[in-house]
Amino acid sequence: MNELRMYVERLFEGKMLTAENIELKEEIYGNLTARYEDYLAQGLSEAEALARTKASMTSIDDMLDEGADDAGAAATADATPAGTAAETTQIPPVAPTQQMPAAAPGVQQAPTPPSYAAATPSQPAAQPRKKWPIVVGIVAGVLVLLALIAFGMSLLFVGATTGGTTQGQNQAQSSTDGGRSDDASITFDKDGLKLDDGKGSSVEIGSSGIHLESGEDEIYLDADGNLRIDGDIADELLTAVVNDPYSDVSSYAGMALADTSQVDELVRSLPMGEWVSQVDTTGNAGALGISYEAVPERYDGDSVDAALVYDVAAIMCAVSDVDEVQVRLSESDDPYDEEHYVFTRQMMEEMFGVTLNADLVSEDGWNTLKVKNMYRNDFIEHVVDRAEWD
Amino acid sequence: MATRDAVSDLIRGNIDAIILCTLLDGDNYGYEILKEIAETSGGEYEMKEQSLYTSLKRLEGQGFVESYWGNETQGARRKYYRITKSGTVELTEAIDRWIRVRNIIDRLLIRQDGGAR
Repeated sequence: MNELRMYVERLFEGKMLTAENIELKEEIYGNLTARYEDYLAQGLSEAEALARTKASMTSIDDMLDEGADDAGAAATADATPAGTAAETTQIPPVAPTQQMPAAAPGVQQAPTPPSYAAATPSQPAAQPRKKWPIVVGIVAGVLVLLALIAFGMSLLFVGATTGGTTQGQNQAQSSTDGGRSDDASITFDKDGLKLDDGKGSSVEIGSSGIHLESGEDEIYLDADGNLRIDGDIADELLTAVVNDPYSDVSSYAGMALADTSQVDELVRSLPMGEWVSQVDTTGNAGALGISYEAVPERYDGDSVDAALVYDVAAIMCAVSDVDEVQVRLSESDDPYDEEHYVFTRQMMEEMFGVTLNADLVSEDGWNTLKVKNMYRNDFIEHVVDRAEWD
Repeated sequence: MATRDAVSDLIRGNIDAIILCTLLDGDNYGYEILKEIAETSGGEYEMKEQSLYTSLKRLEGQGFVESYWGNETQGARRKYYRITKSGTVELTEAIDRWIRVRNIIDRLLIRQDGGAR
Protein backbone atom coordinates (compact mmCIF):
# COMPACT_ATOMS: atom_id res chain seq x y z
CA MET A 1 0.00 0.00 0.00
CA ASN A 2 2.99 2.26 0.40
CA GLU A 3 3.45 2.00 -3.32
CA LEU A 4 0.13 3.69 -3.83
CA ARG A 5 0.98 6.44 -1.39
CA MET A 6 4.18 7.08 -3.30
CA TYR A 7 2.31 6.95 -6.56
CA VAL A 8 -0.10 9.61 -5.42
CA GLU A 9 2.77 11.77 -4.23
CA ARG A 10 4.29 11.45 -7.70
CA LEU A 11 1.05 12.47 -9.30
CA PHE A 12 1.17 15.67 -7.34
CA GLU A 13 4.81 16.37 -7.93
CA GLY A 14 5.37 19.92 -8.98
CA LYS A 15 1.86 20.96 -8.13
CA MET A 16 0.99 23.76 -5.79
CA LEU A 17 0.69 22.64 -2.22
CA THR A 18 -2.69 24.18 -1.51
CA ALA A 19 -5.05 23.04 1.21
CA GLU A 20 -7.39 21.93 -1.54
CA ASN A 21 -4.74 19.80 -3.18
CA ILE A 22 -3.77 18.19 0.07
CA GLU A 23 -7.36 17.10 0.61
CA LEU A 24 -7.58 15.91 -2.94
CA LYS A 25 -4.42 13.88 -2.51
CA GLU A 26 -5.90 12.16 0.48
CA GLU A 27 -9.15 11.52 -1.34
CA ILE A 28 -7.41 10.07 -4.36
CA TYR A 29 -5.29 7.86 -2.18
CA GLY A 30 -8.38 6.59 -0.43
CA ASN A 31 -10.12 5.76 -3.69
CA LEU A 32 -7.11 4.15 -5.29
CA THR A 33 -6.72 1.99 -2.23
CA ALA A 34 -10.34 0.94 -2.46
CA ARG A 35 -9.89 0.08 -6.11
CA TYR A 36 -6.76 -1.90 -5.38
CA GLU A 37 -8.45 -3.89 -2.67
CA ASP A 38 -11.36 -4.51 -4.99
CA TYR A 39 -9.05 -5.94 -7.64
CA LEU A 40 -7.45 -8.15 -5.04
CA ALA A 41 -10.90 -9.34 -3.99
CA GLN A 42 -11.64 -10.16 -7.59
CA GLY A 43 -8.67 -12.49 -7.56
CA LEU A 44 -6.00 -10.43 -9.25
CA SER A 45 -2.43 -10.77 -8.14
CA GLU A 46 -0.94 -7.93 -6.13
CA ALA A 47 1.20 -6.87 -9.04
CA GLU A 48 -1.65 -6.91 -11.51
CA ALA A 49 -3.97 -5.12 -9.12
CA LEU A 50 -1.37 -2.46 -8.53
CA ALA A 51 -0.71 -1.99 -12.21
CA ARG A 52 -4.38 -1.62 -13.04
CA THR A 53 -4.94 0.74 -10.18
CA LYS A 54 -2.18 2.97 -11.38
CA ALA A 55 -3.48 2.79 -14.90
CA SER A 56 -6.87 4.02 -13.79
CA MET A 57 -5.33 7.38 -13.03
CA THR A 58 -2.24 8.46 -14.86
CA SER A 59 -2.32 12.19 -14.40
CA ILE A 60 -4.13 14.81 -12.46
CA ASP A 61 -3.40 17.65 -14.81
CA ASP A 62 -6.89 17.74 -16.19
CA MET A 63 -8.28 18.05 -12.74
CA LEU A 64 -6.34 20.95 -11.44
CA ASP A 65 -7.41 23.53 -13.98
CA GLU A 66 -10.54 25.39 -13.13
CA GLY A 67 -13.18 25.50 -15.77
CA ALA A 68 -11.11 23.74 -18.37
CA ASP A 69 -12.80 20.44 -17.72
CA ASP A 70 -15.72 18.46 -18.89
CA ALA A 71 -17.93 21.49 -18.70
CA GLY A 72 -15.82 23.31 -21.20
CA ALA A 73 -15.35 20.19 -23.21
CA ALA A 74 -19.03 19.61 -23.40
CA ALA A 75 -19.61 23.12 -24.59
CA THR A 76 -17.10 22.79 -27.36
CA ALA A 77 -18.23 19.32 -28.20
CA ASP A 78 -21.23 20.98 -29.75
CA ALA A 79 -19.35 21.32 -32.96
CA THR A 80 -18.58 17.68 -33.28
CA PRO A 81 -21.52 15.53 -32.49
CA ALA A 82 -19.61 12.45 -33.29
CA GLY A 83 -22.26 10.10 -32.12
CA THR A 84 -24.12 10.05 -35.34
CA ALA A 85 -23.79 6.42 -35.95
CA ALA A 86 -23.65 5.38 -32.35
CA GLU A 87 -26.87 4.22 -30.87
CA THR A 88 -27.54 6.32 -27.89
CA THR A 89 -28.64 3.27 -25.97
CA GLN A 90 -32.14 2.79 -24.83
CA ILE A 91 -33.99 5.57 -26.52
CA PRO A 92 -37.51 4.98 -27.66
CA PRO A 93 -37.64 5.56 -31.41
CA VAL A 94 -41.02 7.21 -31.21
CA ALA A 95 -40.84 10.84 -30.22
CA PRO A 96 -43.87 12.28 -28.50
CA THR A 97 -45.73 14.86 -30.53
CA GLN A 98 -46.56 17.30 -27.80
CA GLN A 99 -44.48 20.22 -26.70
CA MET A 100 -42.92 21.73 -29.77
CA PRO A 101 -39.40 22.74 -28.86
CA ALA A 102 -39.73 26.17 -30.49
CA ALA A 103 -40.01 27.85 -27.15
CA ALA A 104 -37.18 25.95 -25.57
CA PRO A 105 -34.09 28.12 -25.30
CA GLY A 106 -31.77 25.23 -25.78
CA VAL A 107 -32.84 24.67 -29.34
CA GLN A 108 -30.52 27.23 -30.83
CA GLN A 109 -27.55 25.27 -29.74
CA ALA A 110 -26.27 22.20 -31.44
CA PRO A 111 -27.98 18.96 -30.52
CA THR A 112 -25.99 17.92 -27.54
CA PRO A 113 -27.30 17.31 -24.10
CA PRO A 114 -27.21 20.43 -22.01
CA SER A 115 -24.34 20.73 -19.63
CA TYR A 116 -24.95 21.86 -16.13
CA ALA A 117 -21.83 23.87 -16.03
CA ALA A 118 -23.11 25.88 -18.96
CA ALA A 119 -26.03 26.96 -16.85
CA THR A 120 -23.72 28.32 -14.23
CA PRO A 121 -20.61 29.32 -16.13
CA SER A 122 -19.39 31.70 -13.49
CA GLN A 123 -19.07 29.09 -10.78
CA PRO A 124 -15.85 27.37 -11.82
CA ALA A 125 -14.23 30.69 -12.59
CA ALA A 126 -14.94 31.95 -9.11
CA GLN A 127 -12.83 29.27 -7.47
CA PRO A 128 -9.37 30.52 -8.52
CA ARG A 129 -10.05 33.89 -6.96
CA LYS A 130 -10.82 32.31 -3.64
CA LYS A 131 -7.83 30.04 -3.95
CA TRP A 132 -5.17 32.62 -4.64
CA PRO A 133 -4.70 34.11 -1.17
CA ILE A 134 -4.22 30.61 0.21
CA VAL A 135 -1.74 29.77 -2.53
CA VAL A 136 0.23 32.95 -1.95
CA GLY A 137 0.23 32.35 1.78
CA ILE A 138 1.54 28.85 1.42
CA VAL A 139 4.21 29.86 -1.06
CA ALA A 140 5.34 32.61 1.31
CA GLY A 141 5.46 30.11 4.15
CA VAL A 142 7.55 27.72 2.11
CA LEU A 143 9.93 30.52 1.15
CA VAL A 144 10.32 31.55 4.78
CA LEU A 145 11.03 27.95 5.68
CA LEU A 146 13.63 27.69 2.96
CA ALA A 147 15.20 30.94 4.12
CA LEU A 148 15.41 29.60 7.65
CA ILE A 149 17.00 26.39 6.43
CA ALA A 150 19.47 28.36 4.36
CA PHE A 151 20.30 30.50 7.35
CA GLY A 152 20.82 27.45 9.49
CA MET A 153 23.15 25.99 6.91
CA SER A 154 25.09 29.22 6.57
CA LEU A 155 25.66 29.16 10.27
CA LEU A 156 27.33 25.80 9.97
CA PHE A 157 29.37 26.52 6.90
CA VAL A 158 30.22 30.10 7.58
CA GLY A 159 33.95 29.44 7.82
CA ALA A 160 34.15 27.65 4.54
CA THR A 161 32.14 30.06 2.48
CA THR A 162 33.42 33.37 3.71
CA GLY A 163 37.04 32.29 3.95
CA GLY A 164 37.90 33.83 7.29
CA THR A 165 41.33 33.74 8.84
CA THR A 166 42.66 31.01 11.05
CA GLN A 167 44.88 30.60 14.06
CA GLY A 168 43.88 33.04 16.70
CA GLN A 169 43.04 36.14 14.78
CA ASN A 170 39.84 38.05 14.60
CA GLN A 171 39.25 40.37 11.74
CA ALA A 172 37.55 43.18 13.49
CA GLN A 173 38.14 46.10 11.18
CA SER A 174 35.68 47.78 8.86
CA SER A 175 32.94 47.91 11.38
CA THR A 176 30.00 49.84 10.05
CA ASP A 177 26.70 50.00 11.85
CA GLY A 178 25.87 49.37 15.49
CA GLY A 179 28.68 47.06 16.33
CA ARG A 180 27.98 44.21 13.98
CA SER A 181 31.14 43.75 11.99
CA ASP A 182 30.66 42.30 8.57
CA ASP A 183 33.79 40.25 8.68
CA ALA A 184 33.48 36.60 9.34
CA SER A 185 36.20 34.69 11.11
CA ILE A 186 37.34 31.38 12.39
CA THR A 187 39.32 31.36 15.60
CA PHE A 188 41.02 28.35 17.01
CA ASP A 189 42.82 28.82 20.27
CA LYS A 190 43.05 27.43 23.76
CA ASP A 191 39.42 28.29 24.36
CA GLY A 192 38.29 26.21 21.50
CA LEU A 193 37.03 26.61 17.98
CA LYS A 194 34.75 29.43 17.04
CA LEU A 195 33.11 30.24 13.76
CA ASP A 196 31.65 33.68 13.49
CA ASP A 197 29.86 35.18 10.54
CA GLY A 198 30.46 38.67 11.72
CA LYS A 199 26.77 39.37 11.91
CA GLY A 200 26.16 38.24 15.41
CA SER A 201 25.92 34.58 14.61
CA SER A 202 28.49 32.11 15.77
CA VAL A 203 29.16 28.55 16.71
CA GLU A 204 31.57 27.93 19.51
CA ILE A 205 33.00 24.55 20.44
CA GLY A 206 35.08 24.64 23.53
CA SER A 207 35.57 23.47 27.06
CA SER A 208 32.09 24.60 27.98
CA GLY A 209 30.55 22.63 25.16
CA ILE A 210 28.88 23.74 21.98
CA HIS A 211 27.47 27.21 22.03
CA LEU A 212 25.33 28.74 19.36
CA GLU A 213 24.61 32.38 18.97
CA SER A 214 22.13 33.33 16.36
CA GLY A 215 22.05 36.65 14.57
CA GLU A 216 18.40 36.69 15.27
CA ASP A 217 18.98 36.94 18.98
CA GLU A 218 18.45 39.88 21.19
CA ILE A 219 21.42 38.94 23.34
CA TYR A 220 24.52 37.92 21.44
CA LEU A 221 28.25 38.21 21.14
CA ASP A 222 29.55 40.28 18.31
CA ALA A 223 32.68 39.56 16.32
CA ASP A 224 34.84 41.36 18.84
CA GLY A 225 33.54 39.22 21.62
CA ASN A 226 31.47 42.04 23.05
CA LEU A 227 28.21 41.13 24.60
CA ARG A 228 25.36 43.07 23.13
CA ILE A 229 21.69 43.31 23.70
CA ASP A 230 19.61 44.53 20.81
CA GLY A 231 22.60 46.22 19.24
CA ASP A 232 23.76 48.01 22.38
CA ILE A 233 26.79 47.01 24.36
CA ALA A 234 25.67 45.12 27.44
CA ASP A 235 26.07 46.71 30.82
CA GLU A 236 27.52 44.94 33.80
CA LEU A 237 24.15 43.70 34.97
CA LEU A 238 23.41 41.94 31.74
CA THR A 239 26.93 40.64 31.60
CA ALA A 240 26.43 39.21 35.05
CA VAL A 241 23.24 37.50 33.91
CA VAL A 242 24.90 35.97 30.88
CA ASN A 243 27.91 34.85 32.82
CA ASP A 244 26.12 33.54 35.87
CA PRO A 245 26.97 29.87 35.84
CA TYR A 246 24.69 27.06 36.84
CA SER A 247 27.26 26.05 39.39
CA ASP A 248 26.45 29.11 41.46
CA VAL A 249 22.94 27.80 41.79
CA SER A 250 23.73 24.11 42.16
CA SER A 251 24.40 24.27 45.85
CA TYR A 252 20.90 25.55 46.40
CA ALA A 253 19.17 23.02 44.22
CA GLY A 254 16.54 20.93 45.96
CA MET A 255 15.72 23.49 48.61
CA ALA A 256 12.31 24.30 49.91
CA LEU A 257 10.76 27.65 50.75
CA ALA A 258 10.99 26.73 54.40
CA ASP A 259 14.78 26.96 54.20
CA THR A 260 14.47 30.68 54.67
CA SER A 261 18.06 31.59 55.20
CA GLN A 262 19.21 29.52 52.24
CA VAL A 263 16.62 31.03 49.96
CA ASP A 264 17.61 34.46 51.13
CA GLU A 265 21.24 33.68 50.39
CA LEU A 266 20.41 32.42 46.91
CA VAL A 267 18.39 35.48 45.97
CA ARG A 268 21.14 37.78 47.10
CA SER A 269 23.77 35.84 45.18
CA LEU A 270 21.98 36.15 41.89
CA PRO A 271 22.39 39.13 39.51
CA MET A 272 20.86 42.28 41.03
CA GLY A 273 21.09 40.57 44.38
CA GLU A 274 23.06 43.50 45.76
CA TRP A 275 19.87 45.53 45.80
CA VAL A 276 17.62 43.05 47.51
CA SER A 277 15.95 44.77 50.40
CA GLN A 278 13.66 42.00 51.44
CA VAL A 279 13.06 38.33 50.84
CA ASP A 280 9.74 37.05 52.10
CA THR A 281 9.21 33.31 52.33
CA THR A 282 6.25 33.50 54.65
CA GLY A 283 3.65 34.30 52.05
CA ASN A 284 0.77 32.15 50.88
CA ALA A 285 1.50 28.62 49.76
CA GLY A 286 4.38 28.64 47.32
CA ALA A 287 4.69 32.40 47.04
CA LEU A 288 8.07 34.06 47.36
CA GLY A 289 8.31 37.81 47.66
CA ILE A 290 11.40 39.80 46.68
CA SER A 291 11.92 43.51 46.92
CA TYR A 292 14.63 45.25 44.95
CA GLU A 293 15.39 48.76 46.00
CA ALA A 294 17.50 51.52 44.57
CA VAL A 295 18.53 49.56 41.54
CA PRO A 296 20.91 51.92 39.72
CA GLU A 297 19.34 54.00 36.99
CA ARG A 298 22.33 53.46 34.80
CA TYR A 299 21.25 49.89 34.24
CA ASP A 300 19.39 49.47 31.02
CA GLY A 301 15.74 48.52 31.44
CA ASP A 302 16.37 45.50 29.26
CA SER A 303 19.15 44.36 31.54
CA VAL A 304 16.93 44.66 34.57
CA ASP A 305 14.24 42.64 32.80
CA ALA A 306 16.79 40.02 31.84
CA ALA A 307 17.99 39.81 35.41
CA LEU A 308 14.45 39.41 36.68
CA VAL A 309 13.65 36.61 34.27
CA TYR A 310 16.90 34.84 34.95
CA ASP A 311 16.68 35.18 38.69
CA VAL A 312 13.11 33.94 38.86
CA ALA A 313 13.92 31.00 36.60
CA ALA A 314 16.98 30.10 38.67
CA ILE A 315 15.01 30.34 41.89
CA MET A 316 12.22 28.16 40.57
CA CYS A 317 14.74 25.56 39.47
CA ALA A 318 16.49 25.50 42.80
CA VAL A 319 13.53 25.84 45.16
CA SER A 320 11.02 23.21 44.13
CA ASP A 321 8.00 24.45 46.00
CA VAL A 322 8.07 28.02 44.76
CA ASP A 323 4.96 28.46 42.64
CA GLU A 324 5.02 32.17 42.35
CA VAL A 325 7.56 34.96 42.72
CA GLN A 326 6.19 38.38 43.52
CA VAL A 327 8.65 41.16 42.83
CA ARG A 328 8.70 44.77 43.82
CA LEU A 329 11.34 46.85 42.15
CA SER A 330 12.26 50.46 42.42
CA GLU A 331 15.10 52.38 40.85
CA SER A 332 17.38 54.80 42.56
CA ASP A 333 15.92 58.15 41.74
CA ASP A 334 12.39 57.43 42.88
CA PRO A 335 12.06 54.90 45.66
CA TYR A 336 8.30 55.31 45.76
CA ASP A 337 7.81 54.51 42.12
CA GLU A 338 7.68 50.77 42.24
CA GLU A 339 7.12 48.20 39.59
CA HIS A 340 5.28 45.07 40.56
CA TYR A 341 5.61 41.69 38.94
CA VAL A 342 4.14 38.30 39.56
CA PHE A 343 5.91 35.42 37.89
CA THR A 344 3.91 32.22 38.17
CA ARG A 345 5.58 28.87 37.73
CA GLN A 346 2.95 27.92 35.19
CA MET A 347 3.71 30.95 33.03
CA MET A 348 7.44 30.49 33.31
CA GLU A 349 7.34 26.82 32.44
CA GLU A 350 5.03 27.57 29.57
CA MET A 351 7.32 30.24 28.17
CA PHE A 352 10.49 28.21 28.62
CA GLY A 353 8.78 25.11 27.41
CA VAL A 354 10.36 23.02 30.11
CA THR A 355 9.85 22.09 33.75
CA LEU A 356 11.92 24.28 36.04
CA ASN A 357 13.49 21.97 38.55
CA ALA A 358 16.82 20.85 39.95
CA ASP A 359 17.52 18.77 36.84
CA LEU A 360 17.82 21.94 34.86
CA VAL A 361 20.67 23.24 37.00
CA SER A 362 23.31 21.90 34.68
CA GLU A 363 25.32 22.76 31.61
CA ASP A 364 22.56 21.71 29.25
CA GLY A 365 19.83 23.10 31.38
CA TRP A 366 21.41 26.52 31.61
CA ASN A 367 21.97 26.41 27.89
CA THR A 368 18.28 25.77 27.46
CA LEU A 369 17.35 28.61 29.77
CA LYS A 370 19.66 31.14 28.26
CA VAL A 371 20.61 30.39 24.70
CA LYS A 372 17.45 28.67 23.63
CA ASN A 373 15.07 31.01 25.31
CA MET A 374 16.27 34.13 27.05
CA TYR A 375 18.59 35.31 24.34
CA ARG A 376 15.96 35.03 21.67
CA ASN A 377 14.29 38.09 20.31
CA ASP A 378 11.53 39.36 22.52
CA PHE A 379 11.56 36.40 24.84
CA ILE A 380 12.43 38.42 27.93
CA GLU A 381 10.03 41.13 26.90
CA HIS A 382 7.17 38.69 26.63
CA VAL A 383 7.85 37.07 29.97
CA VAL A 384 8.03 40.41 31.71
CA ASP A 385 4.87 41.59 29.96
CA ARG A 386 3.00 38.63 31.33
CA ALA A 387 4.35 39.22 34.80
CA GLU A 388 3.70 42.94 34.97
CA TRP A 389 1.17 43.87 37.51
CA ASP A 390 -0.68 47.12 37.61
CA MET B 1 -15.14 -3.08 -21.09
CA ALA B 2 -13.79 0.25 -22.27
CA THR B 3 -16.29 2.77 -23.46
CA ARG B 4 -15.63 4.27 -26.84
CA ASP B 5 -14.57 7.89 -26.75
CA ALA B 6 -17.50 8.95 -28.84
CA VAL B 7 -19.99 7.56 -26.40
CA SER B 8 -18.12 9.11 -23.53
CA ASP B 9 -18.28 12.45 -25.24
CA LEU B 10 -22.00 12.25 -25.54
CA ILE B 11 -22.50 11.15 -21.99
CA ARG B 12 -20.11 13.72 -20.67
CA GLY B 13 -22.65 16.49 -20.45
CA ASN B 14 -24.71 14.42 -18.06
CA ILE B 15 -21.99 13.34 -15.70
CA ASP B 16 -23.09 15.64 -12.94
CA ALA B 17 -26.64 14.38 -13.07
CA ILE B 18 -25.47 10.78 -13.15
CA ILE B 19 -23.46 11.30 -10.01
CA LEU B 20 -26.32 13.06 -8.27
CA CYS B 21 -28.57 10.18 -9.18
CA THR B 22 -26.12 7.68 -7.76
CA LEU B 23 -26.04 9.58 -4.50
CA LEU B 24 -29.81 9.45 -4.24
CA ASP B 25 -29.40 5.86 -3.20
CA GLY B 26 -27.21 6.96 -0.33
CA ASP B 27 -23.98 8.69 0.60
CA ASN B 28 -20.96 7.28 -1.12
CA TYR B 29 -17.34 7.85 -1.91
CA GLY B 30 -15.36 8.12 -5.12
CA TYR B 31 -14.48 4.59 -6.04
CA GLU B 32 -17.82 3.15 -5.06
CA ILE B 33 -19.62 5.81 -7.06
CA LEU B 34 -17.66 4.78 -10.12
CA LYS B 35 -18.39 1.15 -9.47
CA GLU B 36 -22.08 1.72 -9.13
CA ILE B 37 -22.21 3.70 -12.35
CA ALA B 38 -20.36 0.95 -14.19
CA GLU B 39 -22.72 -1.66 -12.83
CA THR B 40 -25.90 0.31 -13.45
CA SER B 41 -24.86 0.98 -17.03
CA GLY B 42 -24.42 -2.73 -17.53
CA GLY B 43 -20.76 -2.17 -18.15
CA GLU B 44 -21.48 0.16 -21.04
CA TYR B 45 -20.09 3.19 -19.35
CA GLU B 46 -17.11 3.52 -17.08
CA MET B 47 -16.57 7.04 -15.93
CA LYS B 48 -12.97 8.17 -15.72
CA GLU B 49 -11.82 8.86 -12.22
CA GLN B 50 -10.53 12.28 -13.18
CA SER B 51 -13.90 13.24 -14.52
CA LEU B 52 -15.46 12.12 -11.28
CA TYR B 53 -13.28 14.36 -9.17
CA THR B 54 -13.81 17.35 -11.40
CA SER B 55 -17.51 16.79 -11.36
CA LEU B 56 -17.71 16.32 -7.60
CA LYS B 57 -15.76 19.50 -7.09
CA ARG B 58 -18.13 21.35 -9.36
CA LEU B 59 -21.18 19.88 -7.68
CA GLU B 60 -19.84 20.79 -4.27
CA GLY B 61 -19.10 24.29 -5.42
CA GLN B 62 -22.66 24.62 -6.59
CA GLY B 63 -23.99 23.30 -3.29
CA PHE B 64 -25.53 20.21 -4.82
CA VAL B 65 -23.45 17.84 -2.72
CA GLU B 66 -21.66 17.98 0.59
CA SER B 67 -18.55 16.08 1.50
CA TYR B 68 -17.27 14.67 4.75
CA TRP B 69 -14.45 12.40 5.77
CA GLY B 70 -15.23 8.92 6.95
CA ASN B 71 -13.57 7.50 10.03
CA GLU B 72 -12.15 4.32 8.71
CA THR B 73 -10.27 2.58 11.46
CA GLN B 74 -7.90 0.92 9.07
CA GLY B 75 -6.47 1.84 5.74
CA ALA B 76 -6.98 5.13 3.99
CA ARG B 77 -9.62 7.69 4.85
CA ARG B 78 -12.46 8.03 2.40
CA LYS B 79 -14.20 11.20 1.39
CA TYR B 80 -17.94 10.69 1.31
CA TYR B 81 -20.47 12.73 -0.59
CA ARG B 82 -24.08 13.40 0.21
CA ILE B 83 -26.67 14.91 -2.09
CA THR B 84 -28.23 18.08 -0.76
CA LYS B 85 -31.76 19.27 -1.10
CA SER B 86 -30.88 21.68 -3.86
CA GLY B 87 -28.98 18.82 -5.44
CA THR B 88 -32.14 16.78 -5.56
CA VAL B 89 -33.99 19.65 -7.17
CA GLU B 90 -31.23 20.10 -9.68
CA LEU B 91 -31.34 16.41 -10.51
CA THR B 92 -35.01 16.46 -11.38
CA GLU B 93 -34.47 19.48 -13.57
CA ALA B 94 -31.55 17.80 -15.23
CA ILE B 95 -33.59 14.73 -16.00
CA ASP B 96 -36.29 16.91 -17.50
CA ARG B 97 -33.74 18.61 -19.67
CA TRP B 98 -32.30 15.32 -20.77
CA ILE B 99 -35.63 13.93 -21.77
CA ARG B 100 -36.46 17.06 -23.68
CA VAL B 101 -33.20 17.06 -25.56
CA ARG B 102 -33.31 13.35 -26.10
CA ASN B 103 -36.57 13.83 -27.89
CA ILE B 104 -35.15 16.56 -30.02
CA ILE B 105 -32.26 14.44 -31.08
CA ASP B 106 -34.42 11.46 -31.78
CA ARG B 107 -36.58 13.60 -33.92
CA LEU B 108 -33.69 14.93 -35.91
CA LEU B 109 -31.52 11.89 -36.22
CA ILE B 110 -33.87 8.99 -36.39
CA ARG B 111 -35.90 10.61 -39.07
CA GLN B 112 -32.83 10.93 -41.24
CA ASP B 113 -32.12 7.32 -40.65
CA GLY B 114 -35.33 6.59 -42.41
CA GLY B 115 -36.76 5.50 -39.13
CA ALA B 116 -40.16 5.29 -37.64
CA ARG B 117 -41.71 8.43 -39.02
